[in-house]
Amino acid sequence: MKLSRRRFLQAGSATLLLPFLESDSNGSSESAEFIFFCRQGNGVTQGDSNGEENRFWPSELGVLTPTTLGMDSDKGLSELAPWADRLIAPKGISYGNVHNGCGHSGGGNQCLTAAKVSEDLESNASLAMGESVDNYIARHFPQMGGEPLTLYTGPRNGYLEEVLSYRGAKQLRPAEDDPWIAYQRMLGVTDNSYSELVFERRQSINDLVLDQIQALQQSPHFSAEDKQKLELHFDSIREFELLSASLSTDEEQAMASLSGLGTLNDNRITVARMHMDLIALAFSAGYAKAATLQIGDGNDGTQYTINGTKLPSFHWISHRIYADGSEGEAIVGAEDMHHSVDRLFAQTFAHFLSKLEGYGILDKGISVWCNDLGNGVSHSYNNVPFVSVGSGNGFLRTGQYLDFEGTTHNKLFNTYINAFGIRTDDGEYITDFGDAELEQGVLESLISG
Amino acid sequence: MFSQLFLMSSVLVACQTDKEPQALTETADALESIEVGVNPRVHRLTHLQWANSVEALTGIQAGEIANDFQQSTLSEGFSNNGEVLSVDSILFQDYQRAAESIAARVVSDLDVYGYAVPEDPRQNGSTIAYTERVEAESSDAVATTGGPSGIDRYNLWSNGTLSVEFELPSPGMYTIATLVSGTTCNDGMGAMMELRLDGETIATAEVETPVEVTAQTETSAGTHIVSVAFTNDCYEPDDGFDRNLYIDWIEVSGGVDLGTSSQSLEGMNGWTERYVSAAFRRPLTGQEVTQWVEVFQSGAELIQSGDDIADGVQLVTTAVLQSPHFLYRLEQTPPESLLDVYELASKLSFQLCNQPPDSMMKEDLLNGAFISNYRGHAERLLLSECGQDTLLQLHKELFHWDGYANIDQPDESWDVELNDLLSEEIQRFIAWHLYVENGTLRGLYTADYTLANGRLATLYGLEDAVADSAEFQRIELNPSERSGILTLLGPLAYKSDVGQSSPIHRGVFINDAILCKSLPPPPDVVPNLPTQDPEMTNRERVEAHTGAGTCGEGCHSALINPPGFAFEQYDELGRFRTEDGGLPVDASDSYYFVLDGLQTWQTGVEFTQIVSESQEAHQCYAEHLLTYLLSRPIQEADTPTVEAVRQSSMNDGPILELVLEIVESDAFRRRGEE
Repeated sequence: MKLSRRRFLQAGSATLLLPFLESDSNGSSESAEFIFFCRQGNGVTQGDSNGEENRFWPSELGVLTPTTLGMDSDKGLSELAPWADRLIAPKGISYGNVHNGCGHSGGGNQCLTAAKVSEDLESNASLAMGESVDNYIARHFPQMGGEPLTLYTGPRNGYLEEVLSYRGAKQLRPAEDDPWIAYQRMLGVTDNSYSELVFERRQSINDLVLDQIQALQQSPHFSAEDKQKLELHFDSIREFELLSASLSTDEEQAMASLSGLGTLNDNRITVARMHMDLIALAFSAGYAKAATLQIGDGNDGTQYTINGTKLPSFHWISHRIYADGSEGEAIVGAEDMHHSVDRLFAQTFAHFLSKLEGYGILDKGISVWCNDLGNGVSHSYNNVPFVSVGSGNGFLRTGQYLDFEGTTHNKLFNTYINAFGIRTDDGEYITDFGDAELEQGVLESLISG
Repeated sequence: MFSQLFLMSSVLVACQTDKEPQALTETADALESIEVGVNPRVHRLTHLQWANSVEALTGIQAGEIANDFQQSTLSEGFSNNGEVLSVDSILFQDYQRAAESIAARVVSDLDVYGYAVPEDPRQNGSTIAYTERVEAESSDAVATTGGPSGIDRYNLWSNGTLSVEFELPSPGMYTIATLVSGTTCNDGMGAMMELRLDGETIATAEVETPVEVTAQTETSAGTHIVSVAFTNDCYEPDDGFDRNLYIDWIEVSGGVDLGTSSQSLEGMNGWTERYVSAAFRRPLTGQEVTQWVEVFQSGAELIQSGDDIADGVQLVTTAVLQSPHFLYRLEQTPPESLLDVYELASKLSFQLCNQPPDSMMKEDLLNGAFISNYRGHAERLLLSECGQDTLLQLHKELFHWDGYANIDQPDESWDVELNDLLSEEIQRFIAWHLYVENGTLRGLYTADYTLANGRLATLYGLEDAVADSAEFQRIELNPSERSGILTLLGPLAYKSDVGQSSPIHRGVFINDAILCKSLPPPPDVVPNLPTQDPEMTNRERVEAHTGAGTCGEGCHSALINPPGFAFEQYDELGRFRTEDGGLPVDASDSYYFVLDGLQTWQTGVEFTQIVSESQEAHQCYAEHLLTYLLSRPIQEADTPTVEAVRQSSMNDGPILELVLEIVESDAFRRRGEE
């Protein structure tokens, strides 16, 4: 499957010194370089009015370190203890609007938009009435294509499918559920029937062009400015080279072998990790500025396998009964099951963080593990988890567990947006993302300096 | 004198309240050791140059493809500044897609193949090997929603797709087409549709009346699914709106049978060398020949159409159109020497004609006669259609007439069509002045004629000059009202506010474009002009807001307002007037010309004639010509060239001669010291 390279390069010709996925430690930007939202559905086990206890958040507000978070080993968030000093755990974040007949749909509608839920479209057909934050950030960087990556792993033809990313009011962005297709699209290969040939042809030509550019860069007849132009051209091609050169043959084969099967229940986490590999790759190569990954359908009904045991539908677990509705036989140990799924998501999120670390870019961006509900039992829109890792090149003050006591999440998104250096025409912070009727502003306590 | 002449455009004039700007202090001594400015030597082709180069190589007109490229921004007032034109990730992808599309076309069209590869005449070939149209309401079309509408179309009444499976016989370039129409909703938008091939969007459109949406794409043989998607469903029954997408048919056509080749793979080595050499606009090195022959021979493996020769042609074309040697005009001549003849030929041809060297230049290059015939080639190019287009483009950017489409006046004499007429007038005027009159810069500012049709003549108050004709013809203007290009309708209308002239916009334009006096940027917060007081003229209103004693005094009183007020005899459509709101117009003022001292005038005509005699205007124009023809900002070392061109212009050298003077100068032909 791995495609041959450097087809045209002559022995003895200029050596192609392809910088390979190096960390840009001299990054000139002081702004965040990427943002990722990984959505878990159905809330987390953080206690509610049903007598359950908090099994998600740390036990004490304040500074987080690997040691302190590690000591909270009974809490789901402890799975992220190795990244505690880069982590922000903001408790008390709420959605500002109500749903229109379906808590899951309404939660998904608001999750990244902070917008109202449609009035005319109801229940599971409801849509957000505004743009999502990933789209907002991505379109401010047209030089990187202006589009976010929108990925999904979950069933098709379900009650709710992708719910996260919006171009604008009622304009839900379709999500790609096949990592192999997403990968090919990133490489600009679109025709499945002979993609390997197109792929190989492009790589061979890119190599040829890179070799020619590099030979020109070595010419004594060009000035530094001339060479900078050639370098920009070189880097532009290299982005695609990095994308195509980074996955091993085994990784490509694994991805291709699951092509078309990504919607199956038992592939959920495997496909999620493949999507994460692609997103990390895209960020490292400067291919994308924003990405979302929705794991599970809107009201995630995946039957996750924990320690070899296949659990009931996660949606049922979140209701604590064997039913999608409000009545049914109780699931014994449902809270424990939900907690174990929380940990599975934390471990999956950790996989992504490890990938970023491998590329040396973890702290250059913001990676958010979010949910479209606070609690599955009550479909609560309070205490919705938006756990982030990474300071966005120092903009965010990390290593904190704070309680925002019901602050609406539009302010969190304003804070993320400003981390990217996006400002008003007057140079002021952006404070008005989301529903115009929500209180505007940023979360000052999350901003460094 | 020489010290004062130094590079006016590089000087940011500090705004002062008196009439005398700060002195320019460079000395001639500092310039003596510098002969030639430093040119960028990695010039990315402009999109026009790229398209013309593609056409010269393949015979394919690529202008429409280039129109979809990422647009370049103006720099130094012009769009061809070689210092800033570059290839970023978006343009790289544009180039890649274009190269693949063009290469596929070369081997999908017998005529194109015959042009690009005359070394391989084909036998028994045929174009359009495949075409199939499927009616949308037929059973061959599968829809996710909707239903048949009438007898011959399908209604997607909700968001969804209608798909048809096609079995394509061969790989190649195919045209995918569909006939669609739509209805609107209360947001005023038509139906948004996407044309998709195997799930990938290849065209989008917002449709209302029936329209054929097409896309060309390179496609493999075998099964492919073409879909039409409706993406913005809207249903507002209370308001009587129901947005739907109607599809008549979907059609796929294309593929090609090139027939039988008359060549062996080895027999194509000569083609490869000639073709790549033509693309690079120079002879190839031996190593390059070897490398490109290998590229050609890799075609069979990397394309696998079964026609190894065509595959080689396609692969070489795809690669060569992405090569830096094609995408850039490269100058690798050592410092302080004349450019290599091939580099010089490319420079002359691209700068004067936006195209690679033509056959006559190539012949002289091969014969070693290019340098001796250099002047002749320059004259020939300058007088050719492409040379005229280049000079028109230069003046279009200099006089901003690409912005005329934005003119919008609440006046019964104005409509959108007038904007086109204003553009056509100034374009015809420039072309006439340069190529019929062989005109000078002085004449550009003092001409007593224009090229107008009946409607424009009416706006000049010369209804009888043209017999209400749509045809443009030369008409004589009233010399007491008009004087040259600055008093044509277009420049005056474009530099106007809504319903009123704009002395500020006009004054800034004169300073910036005509006199090369760079003004400091306006303050961050510029208060709007107060609404028009019926007791005041527009001039009085502007003076009260920006004149002596106001916060805008520094720049406006001395620099911006005087040349702006000079045109107060012309209203927002450029019509001559003696009154403004019933009050007499006052166009008189004075202005300190750096090289000519304080000048005073009573009318706009007097002002433009002062401009025409000013050393400053001639020097400014020389700087613009040099900036455009060198594709870079002027530098200190360009001062002697600027001075020489200014002097020629002051001596009534025709503008075409000034251009030739520049392309014959050392600044153009030599590489400077680093």
